[in-house]
Amino acid sequence: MQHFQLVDYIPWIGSVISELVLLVIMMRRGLTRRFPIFFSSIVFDMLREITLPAVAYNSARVYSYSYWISAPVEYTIGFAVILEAFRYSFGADARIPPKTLRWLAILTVLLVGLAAFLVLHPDIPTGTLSGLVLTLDRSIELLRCGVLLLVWISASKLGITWRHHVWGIVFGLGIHSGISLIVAGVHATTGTMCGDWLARVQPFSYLAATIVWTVYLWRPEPERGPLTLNELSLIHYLLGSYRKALAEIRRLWLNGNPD
Amino acid sequence: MAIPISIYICIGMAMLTIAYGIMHALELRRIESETSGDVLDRARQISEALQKLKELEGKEREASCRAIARAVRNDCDFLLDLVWQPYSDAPPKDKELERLTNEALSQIHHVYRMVNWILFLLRFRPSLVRDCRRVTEAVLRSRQMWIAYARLLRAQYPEEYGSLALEE
Repeated sequence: MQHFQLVDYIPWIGSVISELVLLVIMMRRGLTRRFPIFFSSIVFDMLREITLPAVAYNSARVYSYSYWISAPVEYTIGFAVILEAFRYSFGADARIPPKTLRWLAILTVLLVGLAAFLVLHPDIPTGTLSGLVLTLDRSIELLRCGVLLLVWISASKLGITWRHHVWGIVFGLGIHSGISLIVAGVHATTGTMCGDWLARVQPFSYLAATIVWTVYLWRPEPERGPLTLNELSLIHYLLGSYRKALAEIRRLWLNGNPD
Repeated sequence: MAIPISIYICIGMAMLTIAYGIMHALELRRIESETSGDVLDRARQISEALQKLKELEGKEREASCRAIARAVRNDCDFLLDLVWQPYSDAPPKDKELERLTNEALSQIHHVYRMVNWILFLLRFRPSLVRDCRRVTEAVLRSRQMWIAYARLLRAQYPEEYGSLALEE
């Protein structure tokens, strides 16, 4: 435990408290059924944050191994959370145009290729366990960021609306993933595993993510009632005026070049 | 020591993700705070812009097309929120309601993609959209999107909206 300083306790205790509040909010609002994988990921992280310091108290070496062994589970759950959010948002109308699907497939191949390239051309020797772990970590962080970015961009281009809660989940994940990628990128280049100031940024980014999740899930989804009959009638009247104006424009086009 | 390219890749991707996330979060806040009054104001603005469009030329017309396309996209955002919100909470069990919801969503998505493409062209290949034909097509299509939404409302609440006359 002598490796930890006061600054390390802030994100650790802060995120445990924040996650605890988040779990209570999710259970009270019935969100566990809507986002079961996200709920599981929070439970996993909270248990890990309680268990790992206890391990570190006994042995720094065992702590280091335990941390890196739990990392693949964290990444797997992270990808599953993205998939859950994606499926939730695409649920109603999952018809993705073939052109968009083709672009998505190409971008995914490029992303995987880039991640593989960074593993095959490491900046540090991968003969040691720490070198291998840092290099793999960088590629996985790159994949996570890239997948999130692809999901966001494709959703926005397809007109998929993110509801308040599901957006909060992916937004928090995006902030944490982005900062983790910068940290992983620098570490995989310098060969530093921990102990520098940059390593401390990552837990703070996770704390920020847990606060974002808590705030978003604490606030109820904004409710909007349908338009009233009067409003709808007025809109239809204005739509009629669109038609008149468009008919005039088309008549002008038929008579000559509008330019 | 030269900085390896991998650092640029990682920082670039990370900054892009964070920036996009923050921008989209702000955009969602705007959509969530929109009221039906804003939609009516926008419909009036589109109507006025269409009436003036034939008198405009060159850059002025291009700017007007851009404003119309943005307004239509904002309408799409608003309608998507209205249609999708009850659907995601509890999908309709009635087959006809489900069909009308899917029809409305499909119309909105179609217009959304149209205006996104127009805005893309206006930024990178404005010469292709300077005549505003695409924008007028999108506006025409947006009428169908509103009609699809009104049909859905009429089926959902026949007592309140039954009197609404719609083009078939």
